[in-house]
Amino acid sequence: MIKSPDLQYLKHFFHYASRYKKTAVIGLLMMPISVAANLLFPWLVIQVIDEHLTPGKYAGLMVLITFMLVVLVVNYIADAFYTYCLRLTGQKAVFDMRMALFERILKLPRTYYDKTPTGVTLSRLTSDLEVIGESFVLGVLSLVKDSINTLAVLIFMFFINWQLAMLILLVFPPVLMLTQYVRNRLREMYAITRSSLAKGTGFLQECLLGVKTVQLYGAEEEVESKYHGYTEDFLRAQLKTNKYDATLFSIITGITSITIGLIIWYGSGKVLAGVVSLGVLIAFINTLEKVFVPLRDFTSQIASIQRSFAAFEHIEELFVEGLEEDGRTLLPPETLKDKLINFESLEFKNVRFRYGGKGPYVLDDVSFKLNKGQQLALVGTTGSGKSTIIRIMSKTYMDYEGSILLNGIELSSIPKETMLHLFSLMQQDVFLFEQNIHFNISLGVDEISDEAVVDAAEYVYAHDFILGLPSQYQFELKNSGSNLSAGQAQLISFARSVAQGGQVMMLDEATSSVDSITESLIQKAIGRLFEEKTVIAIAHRLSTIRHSDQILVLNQGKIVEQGSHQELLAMKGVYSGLLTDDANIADD
Amino acid sequence: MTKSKFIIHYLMLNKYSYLFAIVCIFVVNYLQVEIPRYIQLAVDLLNESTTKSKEGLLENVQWVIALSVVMVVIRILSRMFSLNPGRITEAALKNDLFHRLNRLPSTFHEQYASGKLISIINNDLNGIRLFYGIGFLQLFNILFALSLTPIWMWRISPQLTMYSAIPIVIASVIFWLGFRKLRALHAKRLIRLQNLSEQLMNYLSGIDLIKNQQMSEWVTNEVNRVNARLFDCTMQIAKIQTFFMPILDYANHFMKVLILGLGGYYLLQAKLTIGQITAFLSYSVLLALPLMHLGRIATVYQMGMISIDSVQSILNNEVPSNDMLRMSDAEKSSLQGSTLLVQNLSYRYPNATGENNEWVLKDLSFSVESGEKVGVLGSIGSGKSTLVNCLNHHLSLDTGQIFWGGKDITLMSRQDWRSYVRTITQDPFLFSDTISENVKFGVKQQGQGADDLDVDQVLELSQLHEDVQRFGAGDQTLVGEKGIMLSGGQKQRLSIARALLTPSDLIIMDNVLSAVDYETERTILKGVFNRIQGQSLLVVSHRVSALEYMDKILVLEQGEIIARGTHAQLLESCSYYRETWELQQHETETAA
Repeated sequence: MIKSPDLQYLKHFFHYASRYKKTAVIGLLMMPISVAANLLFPWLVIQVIDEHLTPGKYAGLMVLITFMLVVLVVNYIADAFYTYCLRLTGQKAVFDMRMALFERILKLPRTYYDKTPTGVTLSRLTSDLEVIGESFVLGVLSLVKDSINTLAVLIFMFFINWQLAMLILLVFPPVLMLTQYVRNRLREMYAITRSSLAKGTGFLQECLLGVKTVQLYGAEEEVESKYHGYTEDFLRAQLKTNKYDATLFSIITGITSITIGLIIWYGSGKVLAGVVSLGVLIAFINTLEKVFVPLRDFTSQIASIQRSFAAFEHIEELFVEGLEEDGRTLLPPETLKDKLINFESLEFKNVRFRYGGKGPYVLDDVSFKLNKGQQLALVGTTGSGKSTIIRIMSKTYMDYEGSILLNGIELSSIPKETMLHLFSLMQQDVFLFEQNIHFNISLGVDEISDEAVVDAAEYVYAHDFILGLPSQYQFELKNSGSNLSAGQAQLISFARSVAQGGQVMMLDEATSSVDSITESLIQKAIGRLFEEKTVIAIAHRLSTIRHSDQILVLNQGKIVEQGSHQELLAMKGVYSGLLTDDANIADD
Repeated sequence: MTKSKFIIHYLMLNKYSYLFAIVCIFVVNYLQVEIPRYIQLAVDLLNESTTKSKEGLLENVQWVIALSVVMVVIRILSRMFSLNPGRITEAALKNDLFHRLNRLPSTFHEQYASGKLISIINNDLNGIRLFYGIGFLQLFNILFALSLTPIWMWRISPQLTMYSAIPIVIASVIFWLGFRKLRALHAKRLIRLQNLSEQLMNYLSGIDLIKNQQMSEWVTNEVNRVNARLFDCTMQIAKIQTFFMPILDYANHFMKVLILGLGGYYLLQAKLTIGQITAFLSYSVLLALPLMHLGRIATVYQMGMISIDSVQSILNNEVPSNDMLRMSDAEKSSLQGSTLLVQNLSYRYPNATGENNEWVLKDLSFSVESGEKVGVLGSIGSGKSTLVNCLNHHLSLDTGQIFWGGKDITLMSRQDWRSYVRTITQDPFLFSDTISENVKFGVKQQGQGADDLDVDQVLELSQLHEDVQRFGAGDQTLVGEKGIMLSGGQKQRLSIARALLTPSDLIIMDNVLSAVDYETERTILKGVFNRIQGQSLLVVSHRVSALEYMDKILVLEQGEIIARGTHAQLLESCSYYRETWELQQHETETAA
């Protein structure tokens, strides 16, 4: 019933479930008790009818009845423990899987995020795991219990009367064939529903994030018609699913009463001939539900397990998604530790790079060297490759061609975690945690004291506006910092960089939307940084550029000019053109 | 809409389907109680061996089989016609929610994180689907089964029927106690799931920072905490579901024991036949199944109610009534190329309280004539962005402050207003689609087809053309989520191209050239000037350079217009303007 690739997907689940073997074993031990009680019951029914009701003997009837009650209670308790223990195991496994996936997601390379919408990743961690926790765990639990019980009941029936049991077995092949057929159809449908659901969710999320843009462009109806398309696809597949579900369910329910008719018809001759007792016949009729009801439930159990396979498939994709450091030969961190305590130098030698290993080169033959205490400014039009250089340095993107040496060690062989403390990165997009301001500056690092946080804020002239907030440094940010202005958010992220105290400050268009007055304050702060630290800056600001030891002028991924401010001016090339061409250039 | 109105509204969506389903469900349940009657007759004939009894037995067996076949067919119909509406309602609600979310003003979206909204649409709609599908089916199944079965039982033996009720009543009491507890737990769990979803969403969007600052451990701990809260709640639910809820299921078996014991006693007294006991045993199953489903429907009902509350938390936010009024084409074209008049515009944010509750804009008055190019200079916190968001009606405004051709913009729908005014925002949002599709975004709304030539042209004007050509697939290049494949400057230029593609009467540029260099800025502005000669333009910036060539410049400081005039006039009259200009000019001189 289950194909081998499906089982492949399960290996991760069982890996995590196997950690809770003890609980699972307790649950499984309840199984034989439950099965025994389940068989004892119809046997007692036969005894009651044949020994007491048919011959009309009252004595001893109540003993049997009491015994039946005891059997029921035992069955109840065993069943409950079976389900509870195994559900507990399953839920614990889901819990661990969620954590494992999340930790894995944190280690995925930037290229994964470039190609995968966040909504998709989110639904792997939430709805897909929900499906596994509910559909799969519950589905498998009942499927296993029902299969074993059905099998036991059938064997029991053969034991009591093989002819009647054979009759029931005759009904099985067509029912199983039908189940198989519908199972395949349902599987196709689930694939369609999952994918149209994921597409719809991804699109929905984009529209919600960009709702302002949608509204300002009056594009409400445009995005709606696209969304309706996804909903429609989903609905159509669901309606087909319903049709198959309904057919299967109804036929299997009906089979029970048809079989009862057959049993009476066939059994009547046997009863008359004295081969079959009335008790056996009635017990058979009453036990049929134990054979057919599970058979009917199989379909819904299989359906829910099926649903979960789609989810497993998705999860598996995450498990096999290449990690950032997969397939890379890295030096052992211990040997590097001493060499990477302090930043010494960074050297690019004929570096070429393109995204995803294909397409045009965004960096082409870039070479430069940055020593401790020096400042490097990257200048060039947008799209010239400035940001890419920084992203490669911080190992956000790997797979460069050529050679990059950090303290003389090839960057590609350095494990990321051993080098990140050297850099403090200020990105274009400010990300803020939904915590207070203090946390957003210290990032929860214990070594950063309250004073250090305040110092950092003062350093970037954010202190004053923070004091103006309702609860100052304890002010809680909401919705990724939407209760701060864009400029304030940037100041916070600036203060954060300073507080984190990396030895190399990477400034990426840091103050582009800060007004002139605030910016002149920040310039002073940057001036201080330039005296004390090693800095790499993507900047339009003249002061930043002028105070750099080295300036790289980039154009379409190539270094077109390289040198100090004075040297470049003397060249009277691109750089001096950039500066003198227009009065507007340097006002930033 | 009240909750009951909501429920009825969506029920009526499939009323014929439901009506047909009810009839089918009744027939199925009727056949279900009729069939055991024929079984009873057959069993009682087993002990007789006359030819007549044999014929009678065969006839009864044939009835059993024939009615079963009919039951199968009608059951298929009953399930299809009662389950499909669940799916149809789900789809309709999805579209309705999307429609509403698209039209709700900024005040709503600021309150709700998108992760939460998505969780409502993904998870809560499941609850509603079950409510309108399986919930409906089981409700009527239970209703008919529980009303028909006891009648048929009563006909056989009133006393035995009464006694059989005992285990059911006891089980029901226990079941309902558990049910009440579960109801609360399910609500709690849903909230915890939403929290998890929001938290994950938040971290995923800050993944770069988390990785670079090596905050994985902290973030993992946070997720672990929220995950553990969800787990606890899940297991509390599991405990009740496994230890208390099966009691109803077992009530069926207890009933069988009772029937055999007590029925056996009556049989010995010749009050019952063995066939009647058999029928009674069959009926006990027919009673047990709906009782088991009662558990299911109870769950479906409680989850449905919770989900409806969630969904209503969105749907009860009404779209402002003015936004539902659409102008006629005649009125629309009569207002084209009008003058924008701002009269005594004041604004403060509605949710700000206490000391923060200051006026961000104070008593602004100015106009933008048709075709006029107006600049607004202001530093951070001067109210520039607020002004832009008032002008395009992104923020909710009081009436009587902004007029377009004499008509108050708050009295026209936002959608109509935005067919005149096009805003290029500081933080352009791009869809993970091709560059070309992103440029064409919103075009369909205007009822115009844009051909690729136009797209090329505006890409050129916004100085993005060259960049685009360097991409492998040209303007068919995918920009990635939120335009991640593009740099900040490229994104801004793409959004300019987007705004220029279709004509509009007034273009507002809100500090959009912050991430491009000066040469590009100048070229773009020149291009924009050429392209939109007849259209009005409002450029908001903190750079004087971007405003120099405007017909008129307003200087905004702390929410007030402190000066206005041309570049030359302001240099004379406004010291703030002059100082800013000199500060920016000074650098140029030292550089040169």
